[in-house]
Amino acid sequence: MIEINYYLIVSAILFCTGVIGVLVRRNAIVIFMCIELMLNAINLTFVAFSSFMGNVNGQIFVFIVMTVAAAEAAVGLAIVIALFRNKESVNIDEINILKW
Amino acid sequence: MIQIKDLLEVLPLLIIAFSAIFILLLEVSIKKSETVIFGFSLIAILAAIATSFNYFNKEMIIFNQFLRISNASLTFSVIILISMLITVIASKSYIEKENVNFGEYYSMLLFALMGMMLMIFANDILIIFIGLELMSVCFYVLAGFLRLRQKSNESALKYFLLGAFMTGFILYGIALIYGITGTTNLTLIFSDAKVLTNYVFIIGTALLIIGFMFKIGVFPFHMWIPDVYDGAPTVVSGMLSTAGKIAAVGTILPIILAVNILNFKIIFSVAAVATMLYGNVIALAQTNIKRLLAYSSIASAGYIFVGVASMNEFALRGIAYYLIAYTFMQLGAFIIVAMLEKKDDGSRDYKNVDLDFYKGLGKRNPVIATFMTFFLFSLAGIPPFAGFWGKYYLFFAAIKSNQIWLAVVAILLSLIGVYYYLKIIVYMWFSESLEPVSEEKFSFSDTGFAATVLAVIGTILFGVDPNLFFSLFKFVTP
Repeated sequence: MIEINYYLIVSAILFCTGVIGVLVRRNAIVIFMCIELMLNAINLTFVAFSSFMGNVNGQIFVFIVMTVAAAEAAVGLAIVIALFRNKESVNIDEINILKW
Repeated sequence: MIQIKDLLEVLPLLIIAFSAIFILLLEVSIKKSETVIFGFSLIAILAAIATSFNYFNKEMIIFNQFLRISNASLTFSVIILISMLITVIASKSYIEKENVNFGEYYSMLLFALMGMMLMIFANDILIIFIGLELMSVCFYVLAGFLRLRQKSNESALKYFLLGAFMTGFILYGIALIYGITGTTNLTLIFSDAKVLTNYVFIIGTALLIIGFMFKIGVFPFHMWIPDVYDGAPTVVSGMLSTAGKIAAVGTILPIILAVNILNFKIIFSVAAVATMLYGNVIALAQTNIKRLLAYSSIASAGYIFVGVASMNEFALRGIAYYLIAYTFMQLGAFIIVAMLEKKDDGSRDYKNVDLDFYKGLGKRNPVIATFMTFFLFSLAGIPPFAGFWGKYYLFFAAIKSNQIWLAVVAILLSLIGVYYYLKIIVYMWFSESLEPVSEEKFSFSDTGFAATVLAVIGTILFGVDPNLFFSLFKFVTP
């Protein structure tokens, strides 16, 4: 039996990896993948808590999170495509007409 | 168990949900369906407002404790419905002008509306999350609705990336709360006083509150607001700054009040002061009216947080009053900007949104200039407009909670705001037009005009007679 701490630590590390990825990467698609990584780290946390407490709420929550992540992915990629058509770049350093 | 009876208790929510789906069906089944859809969504929102008033003074928890109907949540949802009503009316002429007259637009608005109402009625973090995401995803689409325009694309991408990033934090907070309490039900979570002092629980709640502070646009999570509001279609910016904010405030307020014992007061006070300072000071330097209104909406988030920081029985009343005043005046100002905006000519920028364009507007178009003056006076907090009473009740709440310094600072900072609002008014009435401006002709049958008139009526009505609000929304103490 693996203790819950290990799951929580792994998911915290995954979450931080995602956060760091969002902050340092410059490609919109990669940033989006890092956000997905954060969401999956959270799913791991939910499942760990859920099985630790013998309570099914957390697993239900994971399904909802996956659904929402899919909806977000659809919209997000559509936005990236719309931008790429106009700008021919997905580098967020070049997306800078809105400032100050 | 869920019963059929429960469905009748959430009639406004059901009406909005069904009409949002029905609009998608209308769109594919009828040719030239835009006008039909416009009328249909108007009727749906009006019906939802009318049915909402049946539920006042009936505190109840329904749907397996998933939803909770209370006076406060009903008030917020009615304010959101009003804001959406004005937005839908104003949208018709705007999306025709921008050549994006599609039925999906109204469907997106109604889905967002449903998400916001779900969020406000939620009694379970799961429902809050679903509502929040339903709202946010629709907002990302709406912000990028002018898909041929680079500014709109950019605003949608920024909003999407930052919003999804914040969703991650909100979810992590929810996961920690769930891990400590073993439940996602808000009543159960806050019923155990021992849990409220657990530090993991505090971190979780803080992450949740931070996520919502991002949605409201409170310092230091405000950076997306000017960019998104500047780039989004102007009517949508107005909607984001009113309905979106109201939904986030209405959702997080009960949670903040429930964890009151942690004494977060000072943190919220500091956040409020920083937000007001930032919004008002940066707005002084703006030359683009959409950005100026965006900064003014940051400042308004600061005023709302003065109410949040006071955390007493007067806070809710002040916040609700300010929000309804804010809905009319901010949305009205954005709609006027949208009406004066130049027709889409394939360029990547919005035309006629510079402050210079407003010079001499009083001579060119006295009616619109008068309305704009009303909204700006109201935003500046000058009686007899609704904004004055909104600020009055908010600062009153702060004084009643023994935070006189906060009220004094808030009044001083809102005086800075008076400067840039009056600047526009002076431009409109006492300056000459710089050069012959190419102005878009619009007739008085323009639906934007009808929406503006509604907003003017609201601004004046709630300013002249504050008791109207209390009799309408059944708040006990005037």
